[in-house]
This record gives sequence, C-alpha cells and structure tokens, in this order.
Amino acid sequence: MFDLLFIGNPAIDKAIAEPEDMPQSLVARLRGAPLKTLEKTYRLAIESQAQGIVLCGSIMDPARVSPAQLVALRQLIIEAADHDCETLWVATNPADAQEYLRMLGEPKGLSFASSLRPWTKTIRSTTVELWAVSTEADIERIATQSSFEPLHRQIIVGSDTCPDNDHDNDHSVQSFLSSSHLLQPNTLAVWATQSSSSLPQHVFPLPSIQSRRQTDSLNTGCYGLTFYRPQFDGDSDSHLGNKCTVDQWKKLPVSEVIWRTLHIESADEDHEALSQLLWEACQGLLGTVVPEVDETIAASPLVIIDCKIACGTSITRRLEVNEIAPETKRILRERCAAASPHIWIQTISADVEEPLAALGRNRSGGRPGASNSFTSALADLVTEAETASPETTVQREAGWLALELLESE
Amino acid sequence: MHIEQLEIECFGGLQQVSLKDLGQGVEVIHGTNEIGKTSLLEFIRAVFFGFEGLFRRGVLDPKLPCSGRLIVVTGKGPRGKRERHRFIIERRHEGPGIASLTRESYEDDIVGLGGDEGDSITVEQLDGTSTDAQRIYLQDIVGDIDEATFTSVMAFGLDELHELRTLEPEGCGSRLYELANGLDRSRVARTIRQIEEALQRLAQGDDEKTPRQLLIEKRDALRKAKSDTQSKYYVGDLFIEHTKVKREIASLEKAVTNAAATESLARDALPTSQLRHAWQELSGELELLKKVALVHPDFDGWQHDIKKRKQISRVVKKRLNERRRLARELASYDTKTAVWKKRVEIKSLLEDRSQIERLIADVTRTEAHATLAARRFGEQIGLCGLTKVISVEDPQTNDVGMAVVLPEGLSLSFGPLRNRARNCKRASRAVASARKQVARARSELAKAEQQIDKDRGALSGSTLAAALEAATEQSAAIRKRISAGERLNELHQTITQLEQEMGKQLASQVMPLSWLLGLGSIFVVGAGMLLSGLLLPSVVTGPLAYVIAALGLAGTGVASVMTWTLDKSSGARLGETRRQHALALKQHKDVTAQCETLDTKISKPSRQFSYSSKEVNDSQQEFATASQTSLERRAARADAEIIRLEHMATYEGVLRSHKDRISKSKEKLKLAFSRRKKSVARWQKSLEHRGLPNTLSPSEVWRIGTHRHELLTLDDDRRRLSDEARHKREELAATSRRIEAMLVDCELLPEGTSLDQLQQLDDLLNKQRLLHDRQKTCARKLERARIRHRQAIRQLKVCDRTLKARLERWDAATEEIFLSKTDRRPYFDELTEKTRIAERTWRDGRSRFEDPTLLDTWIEQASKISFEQRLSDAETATKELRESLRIQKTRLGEIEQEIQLAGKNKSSETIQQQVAVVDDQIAAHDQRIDLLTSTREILERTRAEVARHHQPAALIEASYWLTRLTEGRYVQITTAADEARLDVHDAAGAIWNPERLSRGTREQVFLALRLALVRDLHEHGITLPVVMDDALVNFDDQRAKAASRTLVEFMNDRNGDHQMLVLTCHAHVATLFRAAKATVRTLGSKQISGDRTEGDALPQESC
Repeated sequence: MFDLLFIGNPAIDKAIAEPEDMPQSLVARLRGAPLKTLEKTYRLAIESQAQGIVLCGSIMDPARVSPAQLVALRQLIIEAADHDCETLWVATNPADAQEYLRMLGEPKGLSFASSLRPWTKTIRSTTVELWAVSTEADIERIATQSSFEPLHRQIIVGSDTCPDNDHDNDHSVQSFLSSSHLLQPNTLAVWATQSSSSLPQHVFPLPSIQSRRQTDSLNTGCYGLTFYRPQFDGDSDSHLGNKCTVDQWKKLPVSEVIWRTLHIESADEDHEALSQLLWEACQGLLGTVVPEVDETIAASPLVIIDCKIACGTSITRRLEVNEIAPETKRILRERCAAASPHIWIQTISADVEEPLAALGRNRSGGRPGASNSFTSALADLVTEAETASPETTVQREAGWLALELLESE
Repeated sequence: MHIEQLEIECFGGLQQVSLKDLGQGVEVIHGTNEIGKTSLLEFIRAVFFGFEGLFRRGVLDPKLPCSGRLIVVTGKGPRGKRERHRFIIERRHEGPGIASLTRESYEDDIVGLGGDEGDSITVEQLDGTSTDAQRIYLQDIVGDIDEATFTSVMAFGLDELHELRTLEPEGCGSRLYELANGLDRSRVARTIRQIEEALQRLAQGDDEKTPRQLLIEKRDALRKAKSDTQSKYYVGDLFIEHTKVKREIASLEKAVTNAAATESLARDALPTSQLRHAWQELSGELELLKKVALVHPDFDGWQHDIKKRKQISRVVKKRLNERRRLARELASYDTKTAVWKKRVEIKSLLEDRSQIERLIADVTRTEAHATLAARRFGEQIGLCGLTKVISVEDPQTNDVGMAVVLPEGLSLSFGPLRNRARNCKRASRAVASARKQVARARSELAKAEQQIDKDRGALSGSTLAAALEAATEQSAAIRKRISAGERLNELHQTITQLEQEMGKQLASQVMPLSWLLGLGSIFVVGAGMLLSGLLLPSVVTGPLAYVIAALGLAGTGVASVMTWTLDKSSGARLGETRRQHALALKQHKDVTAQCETLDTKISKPSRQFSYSSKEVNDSQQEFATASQTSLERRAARADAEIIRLEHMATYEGVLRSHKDRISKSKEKLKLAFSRRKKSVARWQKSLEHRGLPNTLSPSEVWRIGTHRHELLTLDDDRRRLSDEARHKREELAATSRRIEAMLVDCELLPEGTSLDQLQQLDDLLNKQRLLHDRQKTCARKLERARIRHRQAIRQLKVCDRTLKARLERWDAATEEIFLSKTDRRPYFDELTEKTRIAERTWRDGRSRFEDPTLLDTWIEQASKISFEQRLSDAETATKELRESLRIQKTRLGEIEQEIQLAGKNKSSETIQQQVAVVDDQIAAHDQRIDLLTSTREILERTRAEVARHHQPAALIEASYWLTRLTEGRYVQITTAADEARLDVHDAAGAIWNPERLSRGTREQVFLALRLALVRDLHEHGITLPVVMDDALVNFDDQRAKAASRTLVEFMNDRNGDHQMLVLTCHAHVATLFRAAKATVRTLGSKQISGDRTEGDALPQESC
C-alpha cells in the first residue's frame, strides 16, 4: 500500500526506436511501451490504494502527442479518479496547467501543482502539501509561505528535463537544491532526473519509468511513498531516516521494456560454442530481471540484451568475435525465440568496457621497441585517462577501437 | 655470400665478359665511363631477380637474347647448413619465341604471367655434393628478399640512393618502421588517416549540409508535420464539448419530463371532463323518469297471451313427437327385402324339392361305379410297373379316378422301340468290346515298358542309342587292338630281321686283312717313294727320284681310291638297312602307342552302359592278361552286347506299336461311345415321342408293352363311368347353382346342401309375410296422429297472431322492446345504477389528479380554453423539447464517435517512432564522432609517446653509421612523430630535415640508413652482396675518405661471408678505398666496351 506514487518523465509521446531486424511480435511490444508502462503504473496505484499519482518531469509534448495517447492518458486519470486516486500533474510552469487541462479535456481527478499554488490533500490524517519548483526563487517563496505544523508533509518536486533538448545528458547539479529549506523536517525533495550522482543526498532522484535506450536503462521505475509505514526487520526499502523515520520511499520496477548488458569471457570459442555460453548467461540473467513486485502487475517485460564478450586483451580475438558476431547472434536469437518470447538479443560485440590495464603492464618489463610497445603505450594512456575521469568509458572504448583498427589494418 | 666469378655471354652491350676471383669484403671495380659498370650492376640484379624488370624499364630489348651466370660462394648449404658451398647461377633469355616479345609483354608486373618466353634459370652446386633429391632453388641462396628491396638497399646507384630521401608509408619506409620490432607506425598513420576521413565524412557528408544537420532537419520536419496536422486542443475540446452536451441533454431530459407530465395531465383531463358530463346527463334522465308510471295494462294481457301460447305449444310438441314415433316405427319395417321380391321364384324352387332329392341319389351311384373302374385301372398300372412313370394330369380335378393319365404315345406301336432297344444293346456291346481291347493293349504296353525299364536299368541312365554306339565302339576298338597286336608282331619280326641284316652288313663292311695289307703296303711304298723323291737331294736320287715319287704317288692314290670305293658301297647298304630299321622302329613305336591307346580305351569300363559287376571284373581281368584270346573273347562278348541292345531297340519298336494299338483302341472306344450315345439318344427320343420318361429301360418298356392293351381297355371304362358321374354331378350342380343364386340374390350366404338351402328360403319367405302385415297396421296409426298434430298447429298460429297485434300496437320489433315499453321498472333501476357509476367514475378521475382544483379550474375555463386546445399545446411543447433532446443526443453520439476515432488515431505515433529513430541516429552519430575523435586523439598521443621513447633499432644503427660517415658532425637519425619525414640530429642537438641538408650530407644520411638496413637484412638471413654504382660521386674528398673508411669498417665489422662491390669511375675514390685496405680492380675500356666482339675476359686483377 502506498499513499503517493511518483512517476518521473513518463513522456508518453516519446517512442522507443525499433531495431530494424526485430520481429514484429516484439516490435508490437516495443511500440507504445511508455504508455503501457504508465498504464501498468496506474494499475499498481489503484491496486495499492494510492491516494494520488504524481506525474513530473516530461509527461507529454503537446506538439508530438497523438490523440490516442491523449485519450488513453485521460482514461487512466478518470479510471484512477473512480478509485479515489487523484492524478497530480507537477507543472514547473504555472501557465502550462491550463493548456494541459484543456488538452486532456478537463478530466475529473486531475490536479496541478505549481510553484505558485501547491496541491494539498489530507492523507490518513496527514496534510500533504506538494509544490513544484524549477528555480531557487521558487524555493525561497515556498520557504516564506510554509510553516512547520504537526502531521504535515511538504513535498517539493522538480525535474531537470528540458523539453527542447531531452536527449542531452545535461544532469548538472542544481545549486538551489542545496537550500537549507529542503533540509527541514517533514520536507521531502524529489527530483526527476536521469543522474543520481549529481544530486545532493537529501534530494531523492526520480528516474524515468521507461528508458528509451541502452544508455539510460540502468535506473528506471516509479517510486511509492508511504507515510508512517510500520517497519519490518526484513524490509530493505529505503526510508527517509533523517526526516521521518517511518516514511517509506520504495522503488517499483514497472518498465515494459528493459535493457541489460551481458558480460561473458570467451577465449577461443567458435560461434556455436559462443552462442551456447551466451545462452547460459541469458538464462541466468532472466531470473534477475523478472520484477519482484506483485505478479499481477508484472507481465514479463521485454528484455533487450547487449552481449559483451571479454576477450582477455587479445585484439585478434576481439576481431574474431566481431566477425562471428552475426552468426552467433542469429543462433542465439533462434534459441531465445524458441525458449522465451521476452528476450531480444540486440548486439553481440567484443567488450569495450574491458580494462586495458593488462596490456600496459607488460611495457615496463619489455625493452624499447618490443613488439607490444605501441599497444602498451596506448593501454597506459587509456588507463591514465580513466584514472583521471573514471565516470566515462569513452577512452576505453576508443582505445579498443584503435587497437582493433590497427590490428585489422 | 659473395660473388666469386661473373660471366656475361650477352647482356645489352656486353658480350662475353667475365670477372673472376672476386673475394669477400670490399671489392672496388674502377673503370672509366661507359665501360659498363652500370651494366654490371644491372646484370647482377638480373641474375638474382630476372630480366623482367629490365625489359619493363626498357633497359634491355626483350627481342634480343641475353644470358650470363654468377658463381657465388655461400656460407650455408641449400638446406641452410652452415657449410661453404659454391653455386653457379645461370640465367638465359633466348629462343625463337623471344622475337615476338615486346616491352608491353612485361607490363603486368607479375613474374611468369607475361613475357617469360624463353627465360630459364639454372642453379647448380659446383662441388658436386648435391643430388637430385636436394634440388637447389634460387631462393635458397638469395633469401627472402624481393627485387625492390634489393634494388633500393643492396644494389643501388646514385639515383636509387635518393629513393630513401623521404620515408613513404609504403615500400622501404614501411620496412624501416617495421624494423622497430614493433608495430608498423605507418599503419598507425594510415589508421589515423582513415579515422580522419571517417570523421570528415561524418562531419561534412556528401552534400553541403552535414549528416547531423540533415538528421536534425529531418527530425524538425517530422515534428512540424505533426504539429501541422491537427490542433493540440482537438481532443481536449472534444471531451469538454462532450461534457457540455451531456449537461445540456440532462436539462433537456428534465424539461421533456415536465412537458410530458403536462401533456399527460391534459390528456387525462379530457376524458375526466367527459365523465363529469355523462354523470350530469344520467342524473337529469333519472329525474325525468321518476315523474311517470312505470307499468302499462297491456303488459298483463301480454302475460295472459303468452301463457296460453305456451300451453298450445306443448300440445303441438307432444303430437309432433307421437307422429314422429309412428313414422319411425313405420320406417323400421323393412318390407322391400329381396326375399319378398323373389317370392315367386322361391316358390317355384320349393316346388322342385323332390326332383332334387332324386338327382342326388343318382350322382352318388354313378360316382361309386367310376371309383371302382379307376381302382381297377390303378391296379393294372401298378401291375405293369407304370406307377413311377405315369403322371397325374390334373390334380385339382374332382374326378379322383381320372387323376392318373396314360401317356398319349402308349397307343402307338412299340415295334420301333424294340428296334431302338436292340441298337442300344449293340452299341453297348461294342463299347464293352472296345474297352476290353484298350485294356488289353494297355496291359501289353505295360509289360513292354516293364521289360524296357528293366533293360534300361542296366544302361545306368544312358540312352539306348548311346549304349549301342558305345558297345559298337568297344567292339571296333577290340577289333583294332587285335589287328594292331598282329601288326606289332609283324613289325617285331621285321625289326629282328633288319637287326640281323645290319649286323651282317656291319660285319661285311670291314675289308679283309689281305686286302688291307696289300692296299696298305702299296700306300706305304708309294708314300715312301714320294717322300724320298721329294726330300732327298737330287744329287743323291737323280732323275729316278721323280719316277719313284710318281709311282709312290700313283700307288698311294690307287690304294686310297680302292679303300674309299669299298667303304662307300658297304656304307650305302648299311645306311639303307639302318633307314629301314629306323622306319620299322618308328612304325613299331606308333603301333605300340596305338595299342596303348586302344588298351586304355578298352580297359576303361564303358560309362555309357554298365555291365554287371561280374562282367566288369571279368573284362578287367581279361584285359589284364591282354592276351589275344581274351581279346577275342571280349570281342565276342561285345558283339553279344550289341545284339542284346539291338533286341532292346526292337522292344522299343514294339512299344511304339503297342502305343499305336492303344490309341487305335481308344479311337474305337470313342467311336463306340459316340454310337452308343446316339443309340441312347434315339431310344430316349422314341420314349419321349410316346410320352414315356426317357429314363425307362428296354425291359421296363417291354413290360409296359405286354399290358398295354389291357390298360387301354380299363382306361376306356374308367373314362366312360367317370363321364357319366360327371354329367350327373353337373346336373345336380346346375340345380344347386340356381338355389345358391337365389340365396345370393336374397343377400344370404349359401351354406349346407341344396335341400338345406331350400329350407332356409322357405323359412325366410314365411317371416316376410308376417312382417308385411305389421307394417300395414302402423301406417294407419300414423295417419291419425298427423291429423291431430295439424289441428294443434292451427291453434298456435292464432295465439301468435294475437301477440303480433299487440307488438304492432306498441310499435315494438321484439318482445323485449314491448316489455321495456310496457314495463319501465328495469330501466329505472338500470338508469339509477348508471348514474351512480358515472358519479363514482368522475370522482375517481378527479381524485387521480395531483391538483384536482386545477382540473376544476380547467373545467370552469373550458368555455374559454377547451381541453383539446390544452392537449394540443402540451403535445407541441413536448415534441419541440424532444427534438432538441434528440439533436443533442445525436451531437453527443457524434462527439463520442470522434473521441473513439481519436482514441484510435495513432497516426502521429508513426512520426514519434520516426523521430525516435532519427534521435537514435543523431545520438549514434554523435557517439560515433566522439568515439572516433577519442580514438584519433589516443592514437596520436600514443604515436607521439612511442616516437619519443621507442625509436627503431635500425635508426639507432643508422645513427651510428651516420656518425662515422660524418665524423661526428651528425649523431642521430630519428623519425618524426607524424611519420612523414626523418629528423637528423647534429652534434649540437639541432634537428634537421633531410631536405634542408646539403646534398652530400643528405647522401651520407641515406647511405647510413642503407647500411643499417643491410645490417637488418643480414640479421634476417639475407647475405647478398652489396653493389654500389658511383654512390660516392657527390662526396668531397673528406666525405669520400670517411665513406671509404666507414664502408670498409662496415664490412669488416660484419662476421661471415660478405661482399661489397663498389663500382666507380673516379680514380681518387679507388685510391681512397685502396688506402682503406680494400681490394681495387681497374677495368680497361678495351676489355669491356671495346672488345665486345672478341669475347675476351676482363683482366683478372690489376692493382
């Protein structure tokens, strides 16, 4: 049971690119996956008797959304309202509220929270006040208007998603999030973002409920907020310990499509043996990606897998792996299609995340002009670059690409 | 390896040139210009790598033959063994086919594909240790080096020296990088260039716009296309309008409900007001009725008349019933029966009763007589045995005695039948006789076959003819053997005689002793005289000597001739005898062989027929003795066997005759069968002709014939009596049929005898008479009842007329109208009740109104606004409201339909998908650019790092030799980081681009690089001689001196078998090399270029 369900960046109008070689049965699942994920979240909210669903971040683009998606969203809002579950639209721009309201045909059960006017509701004797923030001025204004009261929760919600350039990974830390007001008791700050590392600790990141590609797929799902939830010994969910020790902030995996990367090592297997290795790894992965929530919620999601083959620093083997990758992929796809309709092997390639440090170690022991001197020098340079900026793997990928190009020359 | 000897047969301008005893180390060959030094360089290249390059470059004309050889000494064997070996490498380009070759034939640059016409190479080992199994290939001597490398590094002139001035990524430049024992950094350069090209393609594209710009434009176009299609508020406005219309519909529905209620009220008020009006009318009528009398006096008169009429009606009904009952009774009497109608005929039949009784008695009597005759006839049939052949003609006939019918042919004569019977009997006897003949022939055939089988058993399976032939052959062989034995005896006697004669002739061939002594004496004397005459000196003998010699000669000759003549005659006889003896021996041998052959033949027991064991033993025993007697006995036995076999052959002939007899007997039997069959058929036909069954035998027919006349007589009696009985029966039957027909006409079932039937008719006729009397009585009663009934009807009609007059008086059509007019009490009661009901209905209708006062008001105002007007107004209002509601509902449906369509409208999702794809492409594009940029950066950084710390070993080597060549002024050669040039470091640390160095210094650099490469090739097992053609021409004296010293040092620094041939036209260069302790040869122009036609070899050495 949750009191509020937070959904970040549903972006129902933002499709997932369909791979060209994907079969139609899987493409059908891929199409409209953001909306299906949102529907799944609404069902979860209704089943968990949530009092409200908070939509924040990029919800829909008025210019891109289709009539069918609008109708479906409106239907979800009305259906939730029929179950006493209110939909709360966090509008960072107060002027947008009227536009969205009109676009959706003024459905019942849809409320807006802005930086000028909060959304207020009493949930189980607790007065909840939810504000939308986008600038530091908003926080200052909220700080001047609010006052501490017993049984009061103030939730401040914002996002760093820019509608005009939503592909940019510009997750710069908003300096105003470090405001002291957010550190006050009974104040909960939620920020819809793709990057959790750039946020202060007291701000809870809210990732997208449905990722669009492999690169942003690691952290997806919605979050459920429960006020005054009794704690259990085996409860591993995160809690708002510094503010309210009994409030629960729980992540719920609801994504319709998830991406996973499979890392295995392969020394000299041919395409059949390699496909067997990958298949075994896929079977192991399947057990981990099935959602642990209620089974009624989780129809098995579509799992798109990238297979990365670690070749033990052998460039020849990497080239060989890339050479046999198409045939291996064909065999593996056939096996996956026969065994599980929820898996799609997207790519098979040599692992670019494999560290090059092993190649560089030999340099010091070798004489100048040794056969691996260039490789060693390159590996050392990549290792140094990674040490300087550990958050990026571009250097490593570039290093492998350079070595592969040289080897294939 | 070094070149020990060089021999040129023809090579361009050089003809028959040789250089011998070339040694290791630096060999300087000094000669003037055009003496052929460069040709020597080209020749050495050509011997090692072929003439193709020279043809291709136009140095040589492929149409002209060229050939030559090198004798080289290597420090390793053909299989790499570290031994000293001498090889001769000979290469020739000659043959008739080369005349067609052109320079273009070698344009393909592939050895062996183009103009290899006439090219041949021979590699042989000169010390003779190689075998065919150890075939030597040129590559075993030259090593793994190509022509380009050899030309650039090891056999170069001044032009080739400068080919290394820039380090191109290909060729020797690449080789130089590879010598770094590591990655080929030219590959790094190529890779970076490829990455830059890829980046350029990604950044610029083919058109004016970059691919990324194109993608962004495409995405923007897609977004714009979406935004242009529909208003973004379209769906929301639909829902808002939907809500609005729903509210409108709700209000309209409420208004319609109210209007409908008003309409319903008006509709209900109209009949309610009519109820009130009806009540008021009934009340007024009741009041009027109360004012007059309710019953008239005619009502009582009407009651009296009605009572009287009812009484008369009852009488009429009673009399009618009586009349009907009598009519029914009269109708029940059935006097029109058939019996009554046929009463006259029945009466006549009854009168014939006595005659019928008499006729019955006659029938009984005649039938008894017929039965008796039939019995007699049957007994006679049984007696003659016709019981089983006589058929019952008509089993249904009543005449039992006539059931048995005699065949019609029984009356015919039986004479022909007897003839037929005799014929059958004869045919049967003929069949029996033929059968006996067949059986007899068969038994004889069986006996003959048994005998033949018995004899054939001795033949052990062979045929009789073969056995007979074998026996004949055996007999002939024995005969031949006997004659051969006799011939053998004769030959034996002849041989014995010839041997005796030969002995005699041999004995007579030796001449008698006296003859021998005489002739011998004559011979000796003659010989002595001859010898003495010949040998003694004439002084001693004188002329006598000649005489003596002549006498001696004559005597000797006479003796010799005599001896020869005698010997020849006896030899001729002996020879003749010997020839005869040999002929006899040969004949004896032939006859003996013939006897052996015959013995073998005879001794073999014949396989064609087998004798009895005793006979075989005897014959073998007899054969063992092989005496003449036994042979004669065997011949006699063989003849006996032949006779026996001939008997067997005779039996076989008998057997065939028996078989012929059997077949003839069978034919007779068949004929007899056919005759008997015909006889039987004729017999059966005769029987059938007489109506008798064809199975009857002649004996049965004979018995029938015996009783035939008696049977015919009895049959006539039987028929006559039977006919009489039948006539009586028919007469009786005719009478009976008349009676039965009468019964049938009277609709009665004929049963019993005719007498019984007559009695039945009589009874019926009496009963009909009685019934007829009763009918007449009933008819009289019915007439009386009809009269009484008519009287009552007339009284009833009078009453009816009275009542009708009353009705007419009150002008009433019916009794009810009359009564209602004369008695108004029921009407009063009814009106009272109606008034009460109308009042109650009105009250109830009024009470149903929610507001009765409104109804009262409407009733009061009915004069102004009628109820119909009110109802019409309400209906109009309701209709208008409902129309509005319908319109709104239609609009609502349209909106809902539009919403449904909008819910299915996913057209822009395709654009969303395309946008997603484009977004992914942009992201992939950006990622690709980032990755390639990073890859390029890291490669460049790595290359710079490696260039800084990892110079190739060859460059270190080259740096050393450059220091030696420049005497320390330049100390290092390095490669630049961008791989496009060499950097030369001077002693002061300055870095020089080779292009900026002086020509001499630059050539020193390139010479140092070549030395380093030669050293590297040597480390890779390539030890070809180094040949330089005026490479030091641009050096000044100091540089030349340093170079000569360095080159000698370079060669001395190398261990093993190495050679450097320095070709120069400068005497000071030769002097410098000589000063550096190198071997110097000076070539005269006469030896190389001037004496081409003489074919003289170059001087061996001229220091």
